[in-house]
Amino acid sequence: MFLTLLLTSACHPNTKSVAQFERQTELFKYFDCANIKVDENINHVFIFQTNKCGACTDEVLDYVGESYKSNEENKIFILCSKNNLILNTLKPLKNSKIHIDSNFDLERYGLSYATDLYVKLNNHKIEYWAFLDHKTVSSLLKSN
Amino acid sequence: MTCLKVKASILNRKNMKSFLRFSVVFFLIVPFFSKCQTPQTPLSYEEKKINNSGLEGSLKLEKIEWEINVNDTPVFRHFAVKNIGDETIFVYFNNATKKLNLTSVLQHKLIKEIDVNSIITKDNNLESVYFHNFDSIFLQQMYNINLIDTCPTQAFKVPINQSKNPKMMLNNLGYGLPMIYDSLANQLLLGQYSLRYAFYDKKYFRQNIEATFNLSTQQFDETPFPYSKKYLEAYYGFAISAHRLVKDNYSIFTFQADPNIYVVNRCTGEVSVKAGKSAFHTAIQEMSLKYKNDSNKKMAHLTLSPLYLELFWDKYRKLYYRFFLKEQPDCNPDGTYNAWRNKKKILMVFNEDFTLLKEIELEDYLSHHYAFVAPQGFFIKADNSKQTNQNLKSILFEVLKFEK
Repeated sequence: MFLTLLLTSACHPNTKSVAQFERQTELFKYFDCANIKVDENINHVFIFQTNKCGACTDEVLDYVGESYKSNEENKIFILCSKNNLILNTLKPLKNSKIHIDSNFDLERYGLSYATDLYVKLNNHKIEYWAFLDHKTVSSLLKSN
Repeated sequence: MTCLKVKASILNRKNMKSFLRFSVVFFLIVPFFSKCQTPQTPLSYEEKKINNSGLEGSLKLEKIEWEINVNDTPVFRHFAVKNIGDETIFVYFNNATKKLNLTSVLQHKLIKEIDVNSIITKDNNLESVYFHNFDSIFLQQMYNINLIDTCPTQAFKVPINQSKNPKMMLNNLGYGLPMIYDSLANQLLLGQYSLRYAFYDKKYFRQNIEATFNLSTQQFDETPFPYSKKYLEAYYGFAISAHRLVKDNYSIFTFQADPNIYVVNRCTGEVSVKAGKSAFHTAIQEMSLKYKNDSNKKMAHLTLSPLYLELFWDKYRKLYYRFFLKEQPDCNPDGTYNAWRNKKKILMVFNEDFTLLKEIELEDYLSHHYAFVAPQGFFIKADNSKQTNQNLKSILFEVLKFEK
């Protein structure tokens, strides 16, 4: 039964992620460094690897643009570099902050990945996290 | 090559004479036919021993800054260079303006902007550009090859990558195999990679990596040379980029995980393997195949690994230049992490026999992605942070001039 629970929680996208995010400490240090204020409420954090081939695809952007269109919770979008197309998608979303990582601090804190990253914070703790690739986005869309 | 089975019966003393006569004829004829087929590459990988006796010599180095003024902030990835006498034409595709910009290195300025908006589109983007002269500029796009002039008038258009079940993709993957016009054979040399096999499959590395397109016959063919056999021995994740230098009828290939340099005669198929190992060399770590679909693990591996990159031929000073990126740790003592931009760059300098003469560490602000040879020396692009006059409408280079 324990194994079934473990498997179910690992596969279901809306439950707590089983594995701890490897750069949890660094993520909070990055917020301090970039002067990004995170309150105790739910915060949806997205790190878009805009300078990487294959990352920040139309599929990911469409998912974010559609799924969070009516979402009233706090959203933090961190972009590796300025990209007008992406900014145009994100700007209309309510309660969102956009930060451009122009000093390459994401790299210094080990948060520069090949794929985009989503982290759900609740009361300053990581409730869920996932790399946003085709597989994850598809399962997130199904669960929505 | 047909393998003839020799029956045991003819090896007896009675038939030995006729067997020997047959063998002599056989071994004379077979090499003649085998010369037309796959080149004589070694059966397994062997790292060649570097000749670094030249390091004891004195190769002088002079450095100067060189700025080329343009109309807009140059944002580009694809570029081409042509030496014409004392002049060098540096051509780049500006991603922001969607124009091909032709600049004169000698005059330090932009000389022509070509609006190619109607030719290069989002669905048929540019993969490579080759400047032959002002009347002949070749554009390799995803689905065709164009020949234009500066108007731009299209002289011809050849479809590529449009067949229903293609086995290979003609593409400048990794930017290491740009399209080159081979005037000796009147053909275009193009990079290609397998669509049939995944990057982690050994069969991927057995495919030839250079295609040819003969402009007279309009026929495609291949240079008979696949990946370095080092890639058949282990899996190296994303560290699979190949680079190619064209020198007369030779295509000279290098591979990120391999210190060796492969000189391929396109006419005869002969392969000569040269040593190219850096004094800063450390062994590249193999990756487990369990990470074959994990982009983050592969990216991390590439970021930290030692990598051999582009080779250049300086016809003016009879020298080869090769970039090498040193291995680096994931984390520094101060708790910060290393990224691609932190990799230390080494420039290796060889003579025309591939004797290593010098190795220098390049400043962080120099980019190995944008380098070329001109009469004035070896040009390496500096990033904007180095531009002291804050003129962002220019391209700044550091020129290294080596003298024996």
